[in-house]
Amino acid sequence: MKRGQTARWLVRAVVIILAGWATVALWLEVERASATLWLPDTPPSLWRFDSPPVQALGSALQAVDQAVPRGSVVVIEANELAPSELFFLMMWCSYYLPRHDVVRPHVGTEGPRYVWSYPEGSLRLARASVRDLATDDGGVVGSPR
Amino acid sequence: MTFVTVLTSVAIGMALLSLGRLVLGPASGLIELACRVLAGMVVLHFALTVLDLAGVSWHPLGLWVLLLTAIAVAVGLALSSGARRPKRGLGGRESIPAVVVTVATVGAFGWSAWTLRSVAPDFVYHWGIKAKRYAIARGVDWDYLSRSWNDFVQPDYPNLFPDLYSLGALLTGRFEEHWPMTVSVVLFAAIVTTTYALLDRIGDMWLQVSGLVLVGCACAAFSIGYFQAGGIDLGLALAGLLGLWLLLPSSGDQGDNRGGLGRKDRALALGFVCAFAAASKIEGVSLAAWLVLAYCVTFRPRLTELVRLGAPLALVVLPWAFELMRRDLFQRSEAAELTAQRLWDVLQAIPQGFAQSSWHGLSWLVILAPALLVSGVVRPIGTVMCLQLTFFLWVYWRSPVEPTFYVLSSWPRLVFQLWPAVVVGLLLAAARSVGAEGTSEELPADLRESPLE
Repeated sequence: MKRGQTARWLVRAVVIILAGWATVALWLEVERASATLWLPDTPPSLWRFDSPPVQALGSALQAVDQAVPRGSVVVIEANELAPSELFFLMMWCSYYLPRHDVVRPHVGTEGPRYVWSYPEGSLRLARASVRDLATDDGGVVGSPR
Repeated sequence: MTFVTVLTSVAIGMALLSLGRLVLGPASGLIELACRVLAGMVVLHFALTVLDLAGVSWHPLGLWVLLLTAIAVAVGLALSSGARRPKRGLGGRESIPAVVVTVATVGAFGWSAWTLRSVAPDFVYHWGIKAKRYAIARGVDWDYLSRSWNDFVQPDYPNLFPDLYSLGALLTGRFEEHWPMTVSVVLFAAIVTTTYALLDRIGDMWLQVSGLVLVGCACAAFSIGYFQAGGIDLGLALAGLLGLWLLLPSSGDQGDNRGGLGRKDRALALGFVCAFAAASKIEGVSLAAWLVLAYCVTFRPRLTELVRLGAPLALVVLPWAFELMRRDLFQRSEAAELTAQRLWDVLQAIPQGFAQSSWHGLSWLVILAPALLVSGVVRPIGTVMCLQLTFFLWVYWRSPVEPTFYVLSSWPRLVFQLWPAVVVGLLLAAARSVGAEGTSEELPADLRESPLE
Protein backbone atom coordinates (compact mmCIF):
# COMPACT_ATOMS: atom_id res chain seq x y z
CA MET A 1 0.00 0.00 0.00
CA LYS A 2 2.78 2.37 0.99
CA ARG A 3 4.82 1.49 -2.09
CA GLY A 4 1.73 2.14 -4.20
CA GLN A 5 1.28 5.58 -2.71
CA THR A 6 4.95 6.41 -3.20
CA ALA A 7 4.70 5.40 -6.86
CA ARG A 8 1.60 7.49 -7.22
CA TRP A 9 3.27 10.59 -5.80
CA LEU A 10 6.29 9.95 -7.96
CA VAL A 11 4.13 9.86 -11.11
CA ARG A 12 2.32 13.00 -9.98
CA ALA A 13 5.63 14.79 -9.32
CA VAL A 14 7.01 13.91 -12.77
CA VAL A 15 3.85 15.08 -14.55
CA ILE A 16 3.63 18.28 -12.49
CA ILE A 17 7.26 19.13 -13.29
CA LEU A 18 6.64 18.48 -17.00
CA ALA A 19 3.48 20.61 -16.81
CA GLY A 20 5.45 23.47 -15.28
CA TRP A 21 8.09 23.07 -17.96
CA ALA A 22 5.43 23.21 -20.71
CA THR A 23 3.89 26.32 -19.13
CA VAL A 24 7.24 28.11 -19.23
CA ALA A 25 7.68 26.94 -22.85
CA LEU A 26 4.32 28.45 -23.79
CA TRP A 27 5.16 31.68 -22.04
CA LEU A 28 8.46 31.94 -23.93
CA GLU A 29 6.82 31.25 -27.30
CA VAL A 30 4.10 33.85 -26.72
CA GLU A 31 6.79 36.36 -25.75
CA ARG A 32 8.78 35.51 -28.87
CA ALA A 33 5.72 35.76 -31.12
CA SER A 34 4.70 39.13 -29.72
CA ALA A 35 8.19 40.61 -29.98
CA THR A 36 9.28 39.45 -33.43
CA LEU A 37 11.59 41.98 -35.06
CA TRP A 38 12.10 42.11 -38.81
CA LEU A 39 15.30 43.24 -40.43
CA PRO A 40 15.19 44.80 -43.90
CA ASP A 41 17.33 42.02 -45.40
CA THR A 42 15.31 39.09 -44.01
CA PRO A 43 15.37 36.48 -46.82
CA PRO A 44 12.09 35.19 -48.32
CA SER A 45 12.54 31.77 -46.67
CA LEU A 46 12.05 33.51 -43.28
CA TRP A 47 9.21 35.81 -44.27
CA ARG A 48 5.98 35.61 -42.27
CA PHE A 49 2.58 37.11 -42.86
CA ASP A 50 3.05 39.91 -40.38
CA SER A 51 6.44 40.94 -41.79
CA PRO A 52 6.91 44.24 -43.69
CA PRO A 53 8.42 42.62 -46.84
CA VAL A 54 5.31 40.46 -47.26
CA GLN A 55 2.97 43.40 -46.84
CA ALA A 56 4.97 45.34 -49.44
CA LEU A 57 5.02 42.36 -51.81
CA GLY A 58 1.26 41.83 -51.48
CA SER A 59 0.57 45.46 -52.38
CA ALA A 60 3.02 45.44 -55.29
CA LEU A 61 1.58 42.27 -56.78
CA GLN A 62 -1.94 43.68 -56.79
CA ALA A 63 -0.79 45.98 -59.58
CA VAL A 64 0.79 43.06 -61.44
CA ASP A 65 -2.41 41.06 -61.10
CA GLN A 66 -4.33 43.84 -62.80
CA ALA A 67 -1.71 44.46 -65.48
CA VAL A 68 -1.45 40.95 -66.96
CA PRO A 69 -4.30 38.96 -68.55
CA ARG A 70 -5.92 36.32 -66.36
CA GLY A 71 -4.25 32.91 -66.60
CA SER A 72 -0.87 34.29 -67.69
CA VAL A 73 2.52 32.83 -66.84
CA VAL A 74 4.41 35.30 -64.65
CA VAL A 75 8.15 34.76 -64.28
CA ILE A 76 9.70 36.07 -61.09
CA GLU A 77 13.19 37.42 -61.51
CA ALA A 78 15.41 38.52 -58.61
CA ASN A 79 19.07 38.91 -59.45
CA GLU A 80 19.99 39.82 -55.90
CA LEU A 81 18.68 36.57 -54.45
CA ALA A 82 20.29 33.15 -54.24
CA PRO A 83 18.43 30.44 -56.24
CA SER A 84 17.04 28.83 -53.09
CA GLU A 85 15.66 32.17 -51.88
CA LEU A 86 14.23 32.90 -55.32
CA PHE A 87 12.22 29.68 -54.96
CA PHE A 88 10.64 30.95 -51.73
CA LEU A 89 10.00 34.37 -53.28
CA MET A 90 8.31 32.67 -56.23
CA MET A 91 5.98 30.76 -53.88
CA TRP A 92 5.04 33.96 -52.02
CA CYS A 93 4.33 35.60 -55.38
CA SER A 94 2.24 32.61 -56.41
CA TYR A 95 0.18 33.00 -53.23
CA TYR A 96 -0.53 36.64 -54.12
CA LEU A 97 -1.14 35.95 -57.83
CA PRO A 98 -3.62 33.07 -57.72
CA ARG A 99 -5.09 33.94 -61.13
CA HIS A 100 -1.77 33.25 -62.82
CA ASP A 101 0.89 30.56 -63.03
CA VAL A 102 4.03 31.84 -61.32
CA VAL A 103 7.44 30.35 -62.15
CA ARG A 104 11.18 30.94 -61.85
CA PRO A 105 13.16 32.10 -64.95
CA HIS A 106 14.71 28.73 -65.79
CA VAL A 107 11.44 26.79 -65.62
CA GLY A 108 10.06 26.02 -69.06
CA THR A 109 6.44 26.88 -69.81
CA GLU A 110 4.21 27.21 -72.84
CA GLY A 111 3.04 30.44 -74.45
CA PRO A 112 3.92 34.04 -73.60
CA ARG A 113 5.52 34.89 -70.29
CA TYR A 114 5.44 38.08 -68.28
CA VAL A 115 8.63 38.76 -66.34
CA TRP A 116 8.39 40.69 -63.09
CA SER A 117 11.63 41.80 -61.45
CA TYR A 118 12.00 41.94 -57.71
CA PRO A 119 12.51 44.34 -56.02
CA GLU A 120 12.51 46.88 -58.86
CA GLY A 121 8.97 46.00 -59.83
CA SER A 122 9.52 46.20 -63.59
CA LEU A 123 7.23 44.11 -65.75
CA ARG A 124 7.90 43.03 -69.32
CA LEU A 125 6.50 40.55 -71.78
CA ALA A 126 8.84 37.80 -72.91
CA ARG A 127 7.62 36.36 -76.20
CA ALA A 128 7.86 32.63 -76.01
CA SER A 129 10.17 30.43 -74.08
CA VAL A 130 13.18 30.62 -71.82
CA ARG A 131 15.51 30.69 -74.80
CA ASP A 132 13.61 33.41 -76.64
CA LEU A 133 13.60 36.44 -74.41
CA ALA A 134 12.74 39.17 -76.91
CA THR A 135 10.79 41.52 -74.70
CA ASP A 136 8.42 44.43 -74.61
CA ASP A 137 9.32 46.60 -71.67
CA GLY A 138 6.21 47.37 -69.67
CA GLY A 139 7.95 49.64 -67.19
CA VAL A 140 7.51 49.59 -63.43
CA VAL A 141 4.15 48.05 -62.54
CA GLY A 142 4.43 47.16 -58.91
CA SER A 143 7.42 47.84 -56.72
CA PRO A 144 7.67 46.64 -53.15
CA ARG A 145 10.24 49.36 -52.47
CA MET B 1 -11.53 39.54 -39.59
CA THR B 2 -14.66 41.01 -41.18
CA PHE B 3 -18.16 40.53 -39.76
CA VAL B 4 -19.14 38.57 -42.88
CA THR B 5 -16.24 36.15 -42.32
CA VAL B 6 -17.27 35.66 -38.69
CA LEU B 7 -20.86 34.89 -39.68
CA THR B 8 -19.74 32.59 -42.50
CA SER B 9 -17.34 30.78 -40.17
CA VAL B 10 -20.16 30.19 -37.69
CA ALA B 11 -22.43 28.90 -40.48
CA ILE B 12 -19.75 26.54 -41.83
CA GLY B 13 -18.99 25.33 -38.29
CA MET B 14 -22.66 24.58 -37.65
CA ALA B 15 -22.93 22.84 -41.02
CA LEU B 16 -19.88 20.67 -40.27
CA LEU B 17 -21.33 19.64 -36.92
CA SER B 18 -24.68 18.96 -38.58
CA LEU B 19 -23.11 16.83 -41.32
CA GLY B 20 -21.15 14.97 -38.64
CA ARG B 21 -24.33 14.41 -36.66
CA LEU B 22 -26.11 13.09 -39.74
CA VAL B 23 -23.54 10.33 -40.22
CA LEU B 24 -22.54 9.57 -36.60
CA GLY B 25 -25.68 10.47 -34.65
CA PRO B 26 -25.94 12.99 -31.80
CA ALA B 27 -22.87 13.74 -29.68
CA SER B 28 -23.06 13.25 -25.95
CA GLY B 29 -19.63 14.45 -24.90
CA LEU B 30 -16.55 16.41 -25.89
CA ILE B 31 -14.75 13.60 -27.72
CA GLU B 32 -17.84 12.67 -29.68
CA LEU B 33 -18.20 16.33 -30.61
CA ALA B 34 -14.63 16.34 -31.97
CA CYS B 35 -15.41 13.16 -33.95
CA ARG B 36 -18.42 14.86 -35.49
CA VAL B 37 -16.39 17.90 -36.53
CA LEU B 38 -13.92 15.64 -38.35
CA ALA B 39 -16.74 13.55 -39.84
CA GLY B 40 -18.44 16.76 -41.03
CA MET B 41 -15.23 17.82 -42.77
CA VAL B 42 -15.00 14.41 -44.46
CA VAL B 43 -18.64 14.52 -45.64
CA LEU B 44 -18.21 18.05 -46.98
CA HIS B 45 -15.00 17.07 -48.78
CA PHE B 46 -16.76 14.03 -50.23
CA ALA B 47 -19.71 16.15 -51.40
CA LEU B 48 -17.36 18.63 -53.11
CA THR B 49 -15.44 15.74 -54.68
CA VAL B 50 -18.66 14.24 -56.08
CA LEU B 51 -19.64 17.62 -57.56
CA ASP B 52 -16.17 17.92 -59.03
CA LEU B 53 -16.26 14.42 -60.55
CA ALA B 54 -19.69 15.17 -62.01
CA GLY B 55 -18.38 18.36 -63.58
CA VAL B 56 -20.68 20.56 -61.47
CA SER B 57 -19.05 23.81 -60.41
CA TRP B 58 -19.02 24.81 -56.73
CA HIS B 59 -21.47 27.66 -57.07
CA PRO B 60 -21.77 29.79 -53.91
CA LEU B 61 -25.57 29.65 -53.99
CA GLY B 62 -25.56 25.86 -54.25
CA LEU B 63 -23.05 25.62 -51.41
CA TRP B 64 -25.17 27.86 -49.17
CA VAL B 65 -28.20 25.67 -49.94
CA LEU B 66 -26.17 22.53 -49.12
CA LEU B 67 -24.90 23.91 -45.80
CA LEU B 68 -28.21 25.40 -44.68
CA THR B 69 -30.06 22.20 -45.61
CA ALA B 70 -27.60 20.16 -43.52
CA ILE B 71 -28.17 22.49 -40.55
CA ALA B 72 -31.95 22.39 -40.97
CA VAL B 73 -32.07 18.59 -41.20
CA ALA B 74 -29.80 18.18 -38.16
CA VAL B 75 -31.87 20.64 -36.12
CA GLY B 76 -35.04 18.89 -37.22
CA LEU B 77 -33.65 15.52 -36.18
CA ALA B 78 -32.51 16.90 -32.84
CA LEU B 79 -35.93 18.39 -32.13
CA SER B 80 -37.84 15.29 -33.19
CA SER B 81 -35.66 12.88 -31.21
CA GLY B 82 -35.32 15.10 -28.12
CA ALA B 83 -31.63 16.05 -28.03
CA ARG B 84 -29.66 14.39 -25.28
CA ARG B 85 -27.89 16.63 -22.83
CA PRO B 86 -24.16 16.08 -22.82
CA LYS B 87 -23.23 13.65 -20.05
CA ARG B 88 -20.51 15.90 -18.85
CA GLY B 89 -18.62 18.67 -20.58
CA LEU B 90 -16.49 21.52 -19.38
CA GLY B 91 -18.98 22.56 -16.73
CA GLY B 92 -19.32 22.24 -12.96
CA ARG B 93 -16.99 23.34 -10.18
CA GLU B 94 -14.62 20.39 -10.56
CA SER B 95 -13.96 21.44 -14.16
CA ILE B 96 -12.75 24.96 -13.33
CA PRO B 97 -8.99 24.16 -13.61
CA ALA B 98 -9.62 22.42 -16.92
CA VAL B 99 -11.65 25.36 -18.21
CA VAL B 100 -8.86 27.77 -17.24
CA VAL B 101 -6.23 25.64 -19.01
CA THR B 102 -8.42 25.26 -22.10
CA VAL B 103 -9.22 28.96 -22.34
CA ALA B 104 -5.58 29.96 -21.77
CA THR B 105 -4.05 27.59 -24.32
CA VAL B 106 -6.73 27.98 -26.98
CA GLY B 107 -6.63 31.74 -26.37
CA ALA B 108 -2.84 31.86 -26.82
CA PHE B 109 -2.90 29.84 -30.02
CA GLY B 110 -6.00 31.68 -31.28
CA TRP B 111 -4.28 35.03 -30.74
CA SER B 112 -1.20 33.93 -32.69
CA ALA B 113 -3.31 32.40 -35.50
CA TRP B 114 -5.80 35.22 -35.96
CA THR B 115 -3.06 37.85 -35.90
CA LEU B 116 -1.28 35.73 -38.56
CA ARG B 117 1.83 35.40 -36.38
CA SER B 118 1.95 31.62 -36.51
CA VAL B 119 0.88 30.89 -40.10
CA ALA B 120 2.47 27.70 -41.40
CA PRO B 121 4.92 28.25 -44.27
CA ASP B 122 3.22 25.42 -46.15
CA PHE B 123 -0.02 27.37 -46.00
CA VAL B 124 1.62 29.95 -48.24
CA TYR B 125 3.65 27.51 -50.32
CA HIS B 126 0.81 25.21 -51.35
CA TRP B 127 -2.32 24.78 -49.15
CA GLY B 128 -3.33 28.43 -49.47
CA ILE B 129 -2.39 28.68 -53.15
CA LYS B 130 -4.56 25.64 -53.92
CA ALA B 131 -7.44 27.01 -51.86
CA LYS B 132 -7.34 30.29 -53.78
CA ARG B 133 -7.11 28.50 -57.14
CA TYR B 134 -10.05 26.22 -56.26
CA ALA B 135 -12.15 29.18 -55.15
CA ILE B 136 -11.43 30.99 -58.43
CA ALA B 137 -12.04 27.85 -60.52
CA ARG B 138 -15.08 26.87 -58.39
CA GLY B 139 -13.74 23.35 -58.16
CA VAL B 140 -10.45 21.49 -57.93
CA ASP B 141 -8.27 23.18 -60.54
CA TRP B 142 -6.92 20.01 -62.14
CA ASP B 143 -5.62 21.93 -65.17
CA TYR B 144 -3.43 24.05 -62.89
CA LEU B 145 -2.26 21.01 -60.93
CA SER B 146 -1.49 19.11 -64.14
CA ARG B 147 0.86 21.71 -65.61
CA SER B 148 4.39 20.51 -64.92
CA TRP B 149 5.72 23.91 -63.86
CA ASN B 150 3.24 24.04 -60.96
CA ASP B 151 4.52 20.87 -59.30
CA PHE B 152 5.83 22.89 -56.33
CA VAL B 153 2.25 23.01 -54.97
CA GLN B 154 2.37 19.24 -54.43
CA PRO B 155 -0.41 18.28 -56.88
CA ASP B 156 -0.59 14.72 -55.51
CA TYR B 157 -1.51 15.75 -51.96
CA PRO B 158 -5.09 15.02 -50.86
CA ASN B 159 -7.55 17.89 -51.10
CA LEU B 160 -9.61 17.97 -47.91
CA PHE B 161 -7.93 21.06 -46.47
CA PRO B 162 -7.71 23.11 -49.70
CA ASP B 163 -11.40 22.31 -50.29
CA LEU B 164 -12.26 23.43 -46.78
CA TYR B 165 -10.13 26.57 -46.97
CA SER B 166 -11.62 27.56 -50.33
CA LEU B 167 -15.13 27.28 -48.91
CA GLY B 168 -14.84 30.56 -46.96
CA ALA B 169 -13.83 32.40 -50.12
CA LEU B 170 -16.58 30.75 -52.17
CA LEU B 171 -19.25 31.71 -49.67
CA THR B 172 -18.10 35.26 -48.99
CA GLY B 173 -16.69 36.15 -52.39
CA ARG B 174 -13.20 37.00 -51.14
CA PHE B 175 -10.33 35.00 -49.70
CA GLU B 176 -9.45 35.91 -46.12
CA GLU B 177 -6.77 34.06 -44.20
CA HIS B 178 -8.90 34.22 -41.06
CA TRP B 179 -11.16 31.36 -42.13
CA PRO B 180 -8.30 28.83 -42.52
CA MET B 181 -6.89 30.13 -39.23
CA THR B 182 -10.27 29.50 -37.61
CA VAL B 183 -10.16 25.89 -38.83
CA SER B 184 -6.79 25.49 -37.11
CA VAL B 185 -8.04 27.05 -33.88
CA VAL B 186 -11.02 24.67 -33.87
CA LEU B 187 -8.70 21.69 -34.40
CA PHE B 188 -6.43 22.91 -31.61
CA ALA B 189 -9.40 23.39 -29.27
CA ALA B 190 -10.53 19.86 -30.13
CA ILE B 191 -7.09 18.51 -29.18
CA VAL B 192 -7.25 20.20 -25.77
CA THR B 193 -10.86 19.24 -25.00
CA THR B 194 -10.32 15.66 -26.20
CA THR B 195 -7.28 15.44 -23.93
CA TYR B 196 -9.39 16.73 -21.05
CA ALA B 197 -12.12 14.18 -21.71
CA LEU B 198 -9.61 11.33 -21.99
CA LEU B 199 -7.80 12.33 -18.78
CA ASP B 200 -11.15 12.67 -17.04
CA ARG B 201 -11.15 8.87 -17.05
CA ILE B 202 -8.39 8.99 -14.45
CA GLY B 203 -9.56 9.24 -10.85
CA ASP B 204 -6.55 11.31 -9.79
CA MET B 205 -7.24 15.06 -9.93
CA TRP B 206 -3.53 15.96 -9.76
CA LEU B 207 -2.73 13.84 -12.78
CA GLN B 208 -5.77 15.07 -14.70
CA VAL B 209 -5.01 18.74 -14.34
CA SER B 210 -1.24 18.56 -14.66
CA GLY B 211 -1.59 16.22 -17.64
CA LEU B 212 -3.94 18.68 -19.33
CA VAL B 213 -1.55 21.56 -18.61
CA LEU B 214 1.32 19.51 -20.06
CA VAL B 215 -0.49 18.61 -23.30
CA GLY B 216 -2.26 21.97 -23.75
CA CYS B 217 0.76 24.17 -23.07
CA ALA B 218 3.27 22.04 -25.00
CA CYS B 219 0.98 21.84 -28.05
CA ALA B 220 0.28 25.58 -27.90
CA ALA B 221 3.98 26.43 -27.50
CA PHE B 222 4.95 24.28 -30.47
CA SER B 223 2.03 25.43 -32.62
CA ILE B 224 2.91 29.09 -32.03
CA GLY B 225 6.69 28.74 -32.22
CA TYR B 226 6.82 26.34 -35.17
CA PHE B 227 4.01 28.09 -37.11
CA GLN B 228 1.24 25.50 -37.26
CA ALA B 229 -1.77 27.71 -38.06
CA GLY B 230 -3.18 26.86 -41.47
CA GLY B 231 -1.05 23.70 -41.57
CA ILE B 232 -2.27 20.12 -41.50
CA ASP B 233 -0.34 18.66 -38.57
CA LEU B 234 -2.93 19.82 -36.00
CA GLY B 235 -5.52 17.70 -37.79
CA LEU B 236 -3.34 14.61 -37.78
CA ALA B 237 -2.50 15.13 -34.10
CA LEU B 238 -6.24 15.22 -33.37
CA ALA B 239 -6.79 12.10 -35.49
CA GLY B 240 -4.15 10.30 -33.41
CA LEU B 241 -5.85 11.31 -30.15
CA LEU B 242 -9.26 10.20 -31.39
CA GLY B 243 -7.65 6.96 -32.57
CA LEU B 244 -6.40 6.43 -29.01
CA TRP B 245 -9.94 6.85 -27.67
CA LEU B 246 -11.55 4.62 -30.28
CA LEU B 247 -9.00 1.87 -29.70
CA LEU B 248 -9.48 1.80 -25.93
CA PRO B 249 -11.18 -1.43 -24.79
CA SER B 250 -14.38 0.37 -23.79
CA SER B 251 -14.70 3.72 -25.49
CA GLY B 252 -17.43 5.76 -23.96
CA ASP B 253 -17.01 9.44 -23.39
CA GLN B 254 -16.12 11.04 -20.07
CA GLY B 255 -15.05 7.92 -18.24
CA ASP B 256 -18.23 6.18 -19.13
CA ASN B 257 -17.87 2.59 -18.02
CA ARG B 258 -21.54 1.86 -18.41
CA GLY B 259 -21.35 0.62 -21.94
CA GLY B 260 -19.64 3.21 -24.11
CA LEU B 261 -19.74 3.06 -27.88
CA GLY B 262 -21.27 0.06 -29.59
CA ARG B 263 -18.96 -1.88 -31.88
CA LYS B 264 -20.69 -0.65 -35.02
CA ASP B 265 -20.63 2.98 -33.86
CA ARG B 266 -16.99 2.64 -32.94
CA ALA B 267 -16.10 1.17 -36.34
CA LEU B 268 -17.93 3.95 -38.17
CA ALA B 269 -16.39 6.70 -36.03
CA LEU B 270 -12.91 5.26 -36.54
CA GLY B 271 -13.66 4.99 -40.27
CA PHE B 272 -14.33 8.73 -40.40
CA VAL B 273 -11.22 9.53 -38.35
CA CYS B 274 -9.16 7.41 -40.76
CA ALA B 275 -10.84 9.05 -43.76
CA PHE B 276 -10.02 12.48 -42.32
CA ALA B 277 -6.37 11.52 -41.84
CA ALA B 278 -6.05 9.99 -45.30
CA ALA B 279 -7.75 12.96 -46.99
CA SER B 280 -5.48 15.43 -45.18
CA LYS B 281 -1.95 14.45 -46.13
CA ILE B 282 0.17 11.60 -47.45
CA GLU B 283 1.41 10.54 -44.00
CA GLY B 284 -2.24 10.52 -42.92
CA VAL B 285 -2.77 7.60 -45.32
CA SER B 286 -0.23 5.52 -43.43
CA LEU B 287 -1.71 6.62 -40.08
CA ALA B 288 -5.13 5.50 -41.31
CA ALA B 289 -3.71 2.15 -42.42
CA TRP B 290 -2.15 1.50 -38.98
CA LEU B 291 -5.37 2.52 -37.20
CA VAL B 292 -7.40 0.10 -39.33
CA LEU B 293 -4.84 -2.64 -38.74
CA ALA B 294 -4.85 -2.04 -34.96
CA TYR B 295 -8.65 -2.08 -34.90
CA CYS B 296 -8.82 -5.35 -36.82
CA VAL B 297 -6.24 -7.05 -34.59
CA THR B 298 -7.78 -5.73 -31.36
CA PHE B 299 -11.48 -6.18 -32.01
CA ARG B 300 -11.58 -8.86 -34.74
CA PRO B 301 -14.47 -7.11 -36.51
CA ARG B 302 -17.34 -8.80 -38.31
CA LEU B 303 -18.04 -8.02 -41.97
CA THR B 304 -20.61 -5.29 -41.21
CA GLU B 305 -18.12 -3.53 -38.95
CA LEU B 306 -15.44 -3.80 -41.60
CA VAL B 307 -17.78 -2.17 -44.10
CA ARG B 308 -18.48 0.66 -41.66
CA LEU B 309 -14.77 1.05 -40.99
CA GLY B 310 -13.71 0.95 -44.62
CA ALA B 311 -16.52 2.81 -46.38
CA PRO B 312 -15.63 6.39 -45.34
CA LEU B 313 -11.98 5.70 -46.06
CA ALA B 314 -12.74 4.26 -49.50
CA LEU B 315 -15.07 7.15 -50.35
CA VAL B 316 -12.29 9.71 -49.97
CA VAL B 317 -9.24 7.72 -51.02
CA LEU B 318 -10.59 6.11 -54.21
CA PRO B 319 -11.71 9.31 -56.01
CA TRP B 320 -8.41 10.98 -55.07
CA ALA B 321 -6.32 8.03 -56.31
CA PHE B 322 -8.49 7.80 -59.44
CA GLU B 323 -7.88 11.45 -60.37
CA LEU B 324 -4.15 11.20 -59.68
CA MET B 325 -3.78 8.12 -61.84
CA ARG B 326 -6.00 9.50 -64.59
CA ARG B 327 -3.94 12.68 -64.77
CA ASP B 328 -0.61 11.05 -63.96
CA LEU B 329 -0.03 13.38 -61.01
CA PHE B 330 1.81 11.07 -58.61
CA GLN B 331 5.14 12.72 -57.88
CA ARG B 332 7.74 10.06 -58.46
CA SER B 333 11.17 10.36 -56.97
CA GLU B 334 14.10 8.06 -57.29
CA ALA B 335 14.56 5.86 -54.23
CA ALA B 336 17.91 6.16 -52.50
CA GLU B 337 20.08 3.12 -52.08
CA LEU B 338 19.36 1.62 -48.66
CA THR B 339 22.86 1.85 -47.25
CA ALA B 340 23.95 1.60 -43.63
CA GLN B 341 25.70 4.96 -44.01
CA ARG B 342 22.45 6.71 -45.00
CA LEU B 343 20.59 5.10 -42.10
CA TRP B 344 23.35 6.25 -39.75
CA ASP B 345 23.10 9.80 -41.16
CA VAL B 346 19.34 9.79 -40.57
CA LEU B 347 19.70 8.49 -37.01
CA GLN B 348 22.37 11.09 -36.29
CA ALA B 349 20.07 13.88 -37.49
CA ILE B 350 17.06 12.72 -35.42
CA PRO B 351 18.38 14.16 -32.07
CA GLN B 352 18.82 17.53 -33.77
CA GLY B 353 15.21 17.28 -34.94
CA PHE B 354 14.07 16.56 -31.39
CA ALA B 355 16.06 19.56 -30.18
CA GLN B 356 14.09 22.08 -32.29
CA SER B 357 13.74 25.12 -30.05
CA SER B 358 9.94 25.44 -30.06
CA TRP B 359 9.65 21.99 -28.50
CA HIS B 360 11.78 23.03 -25.50
CA GLY B 361 12.92 19.42 -25.15
CA LEU B 362 9.41 18.02 -24.63
CA SER B 363 9.45 16.30 -28.05
CA TRP B 364 11.69 13.61 -26.54
CA LEU B 365 8.63 12.15 -24.77
CA VAL B 366 7.71 10.55 -28.11
CA ILE B 367 10.57 8.07 -27.81
CA LEU B 368 8.58 6.56 -24.93
CA ALA B 369 5.98 5.35 -27.48
CA PRO B 370 7.22 1.73 -27.20
CA ALA B 371 6.38 1.90 -23.46
CA LEU B 372 2.70 2.02 -24.50
CA LEU B 373 3.07 -1.55 -25.74
CA VAL B 374 3.54 -2.74 -22.14
CA SER B 375 0.09 -1.63 -21.00
CA GLY B 376 -2.77 -3.64 -22.45
CA VAL B 377 -5.18 -0.71 -22.41
CA VAL B 378 -3.14 1.54 -24.68
CA ARG B 379 -1.26 -1.19 -26.57
CA PRO B 380 -3.32 -0.73 -29.78
CA ILE B 381 -2.52 3.00 -30.08
CA GLY B 382 1.05 2.27 -28.96
CA THR B 383 1.35 -0.11 -31.90
CA VAL B 384 -0.03 2.55 -34.25
CA MET B 385 2.42 5.17 -32.96
CA CYS B 386 5.42 2.82 -33.20
CA LEU B 387 4.47 1.77 -36.74
CA GLN B 388 4.10 5.40 -37.79
CA LEU B 389 7.49 6.32 -36.29
CA THR B 390 9.03 3.36 -38.13
CA PHE B 391 7.33 4.51 -41.32
CA PHE B 392 8.83 8.00 -40.94
CA LEU B 393 12.30 6.50 -40.49
CA TRP B 394 11.78 4.28 -43.51
CA VAL B 395 10.84 7.28 -45.68
CA TYR B 396 13.93 9.19 -44.51
CA TRP B 397 16.10 6.18 -45.26
CA ARG B 398 14.59 5.58 -48.69
CA SER B 399 14.36 9.19 -49.86
CA PRO B 400 17.09 10.65 -52.10
CA VAL B 401 16.96 14.01 -50.24
CA GLU B 402 20.01 14.93 -48.17
CA PRO B 403 19.20 13.26 -44.83
CA THR B 404 20.17 15.96 -42.31
CA PHE B 405 18.24 18.67 -44.17
CA TYR B 406 15.27 16.35 -44.67
CA VAL B 407 15.08 15.33 -41.01
CA LEU B 408 15.59 18.84 -39.63
CA SER B 409 12.97 20.34 -41.93
CA SER B 410 10.23 17.85 -41.09
CA TRP B 411 10.93 15.84 -37.91
CA PRO B 412 9.68 18.47 -35.41
CA ARG B 413 6.24 18.61 -37.03
CA LEU B 414 6.04 14.87 -37.67
CA VAL B 415 6.68 14.35 -33.96
CA PHE B 416 3.83 16.76 -33.25
CA GLN B 417 1.41 14.52 -35.18
CA LEU B 418 2.10 11.73 -32.66
CA TRP B 419 2.94 13.65 -29.50
CA PRO B 420 -0.53 14.22 -27.95
CA ALA B 421 -1.63 10.60 -28.43
CA VAL B 422 1.65 9.23 -27.05
CA VAL B 423 1.64 11.52 -23.99
CA VAL B 424 -2.04 11.00 -23.17
CA GLY B 425 -1.53 7.25 -23.65
CA LEU B 426 1.42 7.34 -21.26
CA LEU B 427 -0.65 9.24 -18.68
CA LEU B 428 -3.48 6.70 -18.93
CA ALA B 429 -1.03 3.82 -18.66
CA ALA B 430 0.77 5.43 -15.72
CA ALA B 431 -2.52 6.08 -13.92
CA ARG B 432 -3.53 2.49 -14.48
CA SER B 433 -0.22 1.15 -13.25
CA VAL B 434 -0.33 3.34 -10.13
CA GLY B 435 -3.98 2.49 -9.56
CA ALA B 436 -3.24 -1.22 -9.75
CA GLU B 437 -0.76 -0.89 -6.94
CA GLY B 438 -2.68 1.73 -5.01
CA THR B 439 -6.34 2.70 -5.11
CA SER B 440 -7.67 0.98 -8.19
CA GLU B 441 -11.22 1.71 -7.17
CA GLU B 442 -10.71 5.27 -8.39
CA LEU B 443 -10.21 4.12 -11.96
CA PRO B 444 -13.01 3.45 -14.41
CA ALA B 445 -13.62 -0.19 -15.11
CA ASP B 446 -12.15 -0.09 -18.59
CA LEU B 447 -8.84 1.11 -17.25
CA ARG B 448 -8.76 -1.64 -14.63
CA GLU B 449 -9.93 -4.60 -16.65
CA SER B 450 -8.41 -4.88 -20.03
CA PRO B 451 -9.62 -7.65 -22.30
CA LEU B 452 -6.34 -7.33 -24.14
CA GLU B 453 -4.20 -8.88 -21.45
